[in-house]
Amino acid sequence: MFQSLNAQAPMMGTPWQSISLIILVGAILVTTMLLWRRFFSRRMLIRRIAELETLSVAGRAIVASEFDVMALSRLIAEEANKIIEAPTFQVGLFEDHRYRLLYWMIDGLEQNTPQSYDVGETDGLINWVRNSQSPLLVYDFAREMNKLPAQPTYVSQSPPRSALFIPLVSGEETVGIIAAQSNQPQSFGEQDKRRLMILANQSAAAFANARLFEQAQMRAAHLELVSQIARQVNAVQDLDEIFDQVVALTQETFDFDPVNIFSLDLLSGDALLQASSDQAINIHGARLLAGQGIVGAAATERETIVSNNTEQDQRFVSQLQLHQEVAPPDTKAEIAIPLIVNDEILGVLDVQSPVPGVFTETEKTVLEALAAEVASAIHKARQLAWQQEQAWITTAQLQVAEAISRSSNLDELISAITRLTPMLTGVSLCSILLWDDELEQYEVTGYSDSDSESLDAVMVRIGDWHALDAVHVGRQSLSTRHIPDWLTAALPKTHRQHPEILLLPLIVSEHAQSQGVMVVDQLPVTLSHSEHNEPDPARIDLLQNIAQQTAQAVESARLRVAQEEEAWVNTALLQVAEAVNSLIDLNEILDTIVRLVPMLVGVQSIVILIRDRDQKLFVPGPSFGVGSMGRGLLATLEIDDQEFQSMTSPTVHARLPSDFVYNVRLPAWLETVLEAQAAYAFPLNAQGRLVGAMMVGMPTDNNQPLSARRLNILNGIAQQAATAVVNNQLYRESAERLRMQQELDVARDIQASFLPDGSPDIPGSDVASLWLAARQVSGDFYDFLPRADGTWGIVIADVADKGVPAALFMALSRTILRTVGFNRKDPADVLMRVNEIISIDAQSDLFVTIFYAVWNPKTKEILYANGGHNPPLLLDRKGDLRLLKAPGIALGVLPTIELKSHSAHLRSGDMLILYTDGVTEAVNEDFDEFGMERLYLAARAARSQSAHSIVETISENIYDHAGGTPQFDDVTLVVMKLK
Amino acid sequence: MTISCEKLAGDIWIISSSGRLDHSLNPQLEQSLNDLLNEKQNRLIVDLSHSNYINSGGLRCLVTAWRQAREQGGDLRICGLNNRMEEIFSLIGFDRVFSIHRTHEDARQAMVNESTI
Repeated sequence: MFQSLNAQAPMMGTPWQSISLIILVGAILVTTMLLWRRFFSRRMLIRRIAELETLSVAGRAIVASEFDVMALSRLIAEEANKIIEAPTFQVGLFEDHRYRLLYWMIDGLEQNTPQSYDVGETDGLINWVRNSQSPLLVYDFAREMNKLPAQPTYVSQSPPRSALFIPLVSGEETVGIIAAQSNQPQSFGEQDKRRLMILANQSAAAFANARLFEQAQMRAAHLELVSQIARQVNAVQDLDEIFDQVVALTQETFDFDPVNIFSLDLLSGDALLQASSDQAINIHGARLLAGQGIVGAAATERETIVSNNTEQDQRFVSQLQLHQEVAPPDTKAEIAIPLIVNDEILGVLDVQSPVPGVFTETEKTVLEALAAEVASAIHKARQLAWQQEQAWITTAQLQVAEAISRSSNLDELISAITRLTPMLTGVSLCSILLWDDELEQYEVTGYSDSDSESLDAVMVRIGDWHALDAVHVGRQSLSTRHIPDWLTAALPKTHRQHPEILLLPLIVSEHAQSQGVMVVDQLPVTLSHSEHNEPDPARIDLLQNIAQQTAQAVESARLRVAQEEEAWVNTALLQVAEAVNSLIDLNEILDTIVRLVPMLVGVQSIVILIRDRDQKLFVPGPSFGVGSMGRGLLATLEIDDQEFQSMTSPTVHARLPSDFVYNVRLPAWLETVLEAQAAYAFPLNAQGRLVGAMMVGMPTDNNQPLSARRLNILNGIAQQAATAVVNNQLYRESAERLRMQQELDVARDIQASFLPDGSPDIPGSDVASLWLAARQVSGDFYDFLPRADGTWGIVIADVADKGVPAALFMALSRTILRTVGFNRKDPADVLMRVNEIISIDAQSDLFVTIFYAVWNPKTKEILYANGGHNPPLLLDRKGDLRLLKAPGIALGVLPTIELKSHSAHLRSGDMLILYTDGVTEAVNEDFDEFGMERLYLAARAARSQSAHSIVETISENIYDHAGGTPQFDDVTLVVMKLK
Repeated sequence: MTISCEKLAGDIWIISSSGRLDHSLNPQLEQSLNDLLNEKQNRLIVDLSHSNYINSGGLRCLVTAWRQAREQGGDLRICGLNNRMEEIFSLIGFDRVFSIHRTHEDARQAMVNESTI
């Protein structure tokens, strides 16, 4: 307006005077205008100052009002009312998609606030102002409706005609709207708009502050709740109770439902439900597989996962899948927060709500704070539980160790272990199966329940119980549901339904022999490990520890027993040895032994049988514990070898590697003798001879097999008895041998005396002889018979075989030949007669080869016949050889034989060599015989020497040839050399 | 150094020796022959083709067995003598005691023939 006035001035003054007038008038006008304008500006200024004052008062009031949005809204409305007049007025704030009216007056009537409307994505005026952040002044809805940027949405019965909308902008966000409305058109002008905008700016700042404060306050309030929950939860030490409290308190405090807590299975990564505010859920066995659901996602990513619209969320898994029997909660929003302490994820806190979008940053922050507290509480509880468990396990182990150290023998030890283990570990049955290495079976030696007498003396062999076999071989603990009847019967009745038995091998170290197996029934499932539905590993560890301590204790107890037994055995054997050594008479020794044995070994009766080697039968020696009737039977008892073998069967015993024991199948009579139903026979073996047997009868009231200790003692005693018997026999034998030797020496002397002078004085000849017996007596002989007609009978003979029978036969043959030879002249005739006489004695299997010659010194004629003997050698002066052959047969084989005599004429220097096969068949170590060739060569080489020298030369040659090879056959040699 | 026994058809037994028949092997020979004769197995052929030596003890065994076999109504024949063995047998005159054959088949045949006559 002022600009247009100024603009008109130059167009008015055209003539100069008029111009002056015009100028004057203009100046007046201008002055007036200036004055007016100055006056007006002043008024404006005053008004403006007043206005600003009002606004600043309002602003101060608003700013000073602080932090209660409701009060602030009212204040804003009051202050605004001072600036503009509006019968309908509202102050509202946006919360996400909702518009919350905090102050609302309609036609001067204040409405109940707050009221909340979902404005969502609507394109109403409110949203337009919110989004454009621009004020909107509507003079008249009726007229401007088509020009409006958005269509109004009416909530009121009487729609307004004019309105003013001012956005409350804080930062870049439209936090709310102030709106003034009127039923009259044109109620608000630009000035109202401007003023309200100033107020709005201050209000926006105040709202922002108030909202922050409110959030902080809410957070503080929430955090206070969190800390309350934390305090309560931290006061709890039991983990399960913590879980229950967390879900209950969280549900109560924040009104979310359901609230769940999951733990994580370290191995599988599965989330296992530990507690739920939903009472209908049975938490046992409820699990989400690794990565499954919002919970799984939180566990995997180790961060909070918020799903404010679960229906659209692929990850969401409804409770239905978690637990099919229960109706799923109406979940529309879910938040899952991992419970992490020191980088370790312990579980997931899972909070759900039927309200979509309920989990804002605030809820997230608060619940995360809660989760941190919960995680720490769980961690502390776990640590405490672990410490307690460790302390408890240490105490338990100490108790076991103490119990073991108090036990003075194996029985006490087993009893202590089986009594303590159930108390310490919570099992209801504990039994120790000791491995008997000797009998190769398990013996049930202890049990925890005194009623379980069915376990008494139960023997379990390999193959009886597969689980036990598996532990025996595999040496590892094993759990089984296949339980033998004897063990089922020992279980408490409550455990017999679904029993599970744990077998722990009693092994001291990796390579040590297993001492046995500890058997316990299923462990009670502990709370902290309920998710596995498996026994607590700490308890398993404790059981393993007990098993190991037991193994060590059993091993040392057994070692101690073994040492004691060994000392005892040694003492017992020493007593027997003393008896054996201090006595000389065998019967006295055996008598002492039979008296000691029942005392030392606890047998009922004992009989020592001595084997008669010649008659090959067993005869009773000293006995003890045998009744009068038995003694009567023993007096006439003879058991031959076959009978003995038929009633005993050798049992090779594992512990007695070199000896064996006979288990006697008792004939009725022996039962009577030993007054027992079970007996053992111990062979008396010494120096490779079976010289007898020691038979012991077991007491009737004890049908246990003999223990290794007793077997050892009995075996040791049998050894000593055997030695005593053998020594006695050897003594007798050596005495016998000495006597026989003396007798043989006598026989040899006698036999030698049969032989004539080896160098008889036969006219015209030089004779020498050699006679060597392979044993003391010989079957060879030579003879020289001076006959009545001046001729000489010359004999060399060899009885088949050697030794005494041969010597006797030789004596017989010689006598017969001498007798016949004196009476008959023809050598063939003589031998045929001798054969007849010998053959009459058909008993003899022996035969003799004889060369018989009759030498006539006057005629130098030799007449000879041969009964199967080696033909003599005839060497002439030059050394040329001739054999005096004459067919014949050994005497004593056929009843009658036909022989013919042959003759030869000898000259001076001729040499006749008669020999037995002991000469030619003397062998060296290569079985190379001396042979006739060597005999001849030796004789030829020495032919110029005397007969005696020739014999010596031949003898030396034989010795040289044979070397160290023993003489097998008798050697006889006669050399007759003609002068 | 063994003695082995083999039964042929017609209850004829061949007793074969291998090695020197001296003090070390003769007890075995004697035992084998005794065992058979105790069982009344008395149609015996002793095959000596693998022995090069027999001493007087061995000969005595053969004679004794021969006697017993004859007493039981059986016989003992010898076969397989080499030159050396033949010499020994002939020297002692046992070629006149025993029926001696070249091979055990000859001996068996002779024994069969004898029994059928």
